[in-house]
Amino acid sequence: MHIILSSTSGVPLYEQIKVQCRAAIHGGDLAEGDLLPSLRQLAAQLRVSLITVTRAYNDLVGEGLVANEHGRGFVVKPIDPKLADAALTERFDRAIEETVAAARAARIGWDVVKERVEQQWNQ
Amino acid sequence: MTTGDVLVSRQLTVRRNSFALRAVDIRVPRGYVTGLVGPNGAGKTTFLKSALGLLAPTSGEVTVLGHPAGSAAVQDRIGVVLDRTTAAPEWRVETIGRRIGKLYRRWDEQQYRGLLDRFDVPPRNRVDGLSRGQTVKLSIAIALSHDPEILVLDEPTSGLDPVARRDLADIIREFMLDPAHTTVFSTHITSELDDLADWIVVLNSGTVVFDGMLHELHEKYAIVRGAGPLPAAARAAAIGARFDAQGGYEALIRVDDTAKFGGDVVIDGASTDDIVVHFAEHSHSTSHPGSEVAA
Repeated sequence: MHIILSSTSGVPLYEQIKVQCRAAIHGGDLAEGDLLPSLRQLAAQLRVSLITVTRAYNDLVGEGLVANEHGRGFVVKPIDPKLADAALTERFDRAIEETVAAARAARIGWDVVKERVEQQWNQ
Repeated sequence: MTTGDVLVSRQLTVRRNSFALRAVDIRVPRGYVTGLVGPNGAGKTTFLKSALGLLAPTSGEVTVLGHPAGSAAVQDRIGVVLDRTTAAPEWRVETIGRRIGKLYRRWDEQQYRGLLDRFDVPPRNRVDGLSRGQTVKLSIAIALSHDPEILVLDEPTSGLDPVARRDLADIIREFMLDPAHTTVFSTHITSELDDLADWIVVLNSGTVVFDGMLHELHEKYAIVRGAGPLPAAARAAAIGARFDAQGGYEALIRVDDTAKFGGDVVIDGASTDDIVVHFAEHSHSTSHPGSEVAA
C-alpha cells in the first residue's frame, strides 16, 4: 500500500489516509490478516501527526474493516463480500450524486451528461 | 500504548514583574506531541521553565512523571532544548560528552557522535562557531544522548531555515516512534503545529485559551465577517473584533455563538493563526488581560 497525501486538496489528511487504506483493502492490496503500517511509522513516513493517523485508523475500525488487536496493531478483518459490495455501491451512488450536482451547477443538460457517461463507458 | 499524563500543572501561577501565568491547568499526555502556541509573552517559556524546575511557582504546582518539577529523580529522564545550549561557548563540540556526560546516568557517547554526524554539526568547531541551525541541532543531540523519555523544546524552530525546520520535525517524529516517548514544544509559528502536534495548548496573556486536539480547535471556533455594525447582543461573543473604515467587522467567535450575528454575515473556518491573533487582540482591548477568556 502506498499512500500519497495532498496538502492542498481541501480533503482533510485523515480522510485521505482513510480513503486510501479502504481502497487498498477493497481492492485486494491488503488481504485478511495483513497488518496496516503502525500508527507511529505511518505518521513519521507521511510527516503527519500521530493523531491524524489515529483518527483514520479508528474510523476504519468503526467501519469494521480493521481491528485493533492488542500487541499486534491494526489487522485487516475478513472482507465480508456483502460489505465490500455495499461499499462499492455506496461509492457508485456518491459518484452519481456528485456528477448530477456538478452538472446542474455547470448547467449541463441531461443529454450531454448521458453522452459523456457513454463516452467514458466505452473508453 | 502507554497512557497517562507525564507533565501536569495545577493552578500554576508564576508572577515575575507582572503575571506570567495565572492559575493554569495544563496536561501533557504520554506518547504524544504537545504544542504550546501563543504570541510572545503568552507564558509558553514560563510554563516550560516551570516544568523543568528552572522557575519556582508563585502558587500551584507542576509535576513531571509524578515528581515535583526539578526533582533529581526526573532530570535524567528529560531532554531539554532551550534557546541557549547548556554547553559553554568556548567548548569544542566533540568534547561536550566528556564534560557533561557524567551528569547523566545513561549518557551514550556513541549516540552523541552519531547524532552530530547525522545532523552535520562539525565536531571540531567551538560552540560559538556554530550557526543557529547547528546550535539547535547540537542541543538536540545532547538532549537525545541520555535516552530521555520526554523531550522539551522551547521555540526550537526560531531562526531556522525551512530545511532545518523540516529536519527538526523529522527528528521529533523519529523520537516519537517509541510510544513511551513524549514531546512538548513551544512555537509562535502555528503552521508547524498542523503536521506535528497531536495536542495543542493555546496560551494568551498567561491563561489557557484552548487545550485539546487541533481539529477540535478548528471545530470550536470560526471567523465572522459582517458589513454592518456589530449587533449589541453579539458584542460579548466577538473575540478580538476588528473594524474597517466602513464599519464592517471581523471577529473570532465560538461556533455555538453563530446565530447571535444574524443572517447577513459570512462565517469562515478559523485558522490557528486567526485564533492566536484574535485572542491577543481581545486581551489588548480589555483592561484585565486574558481574564474574560480564561473559561
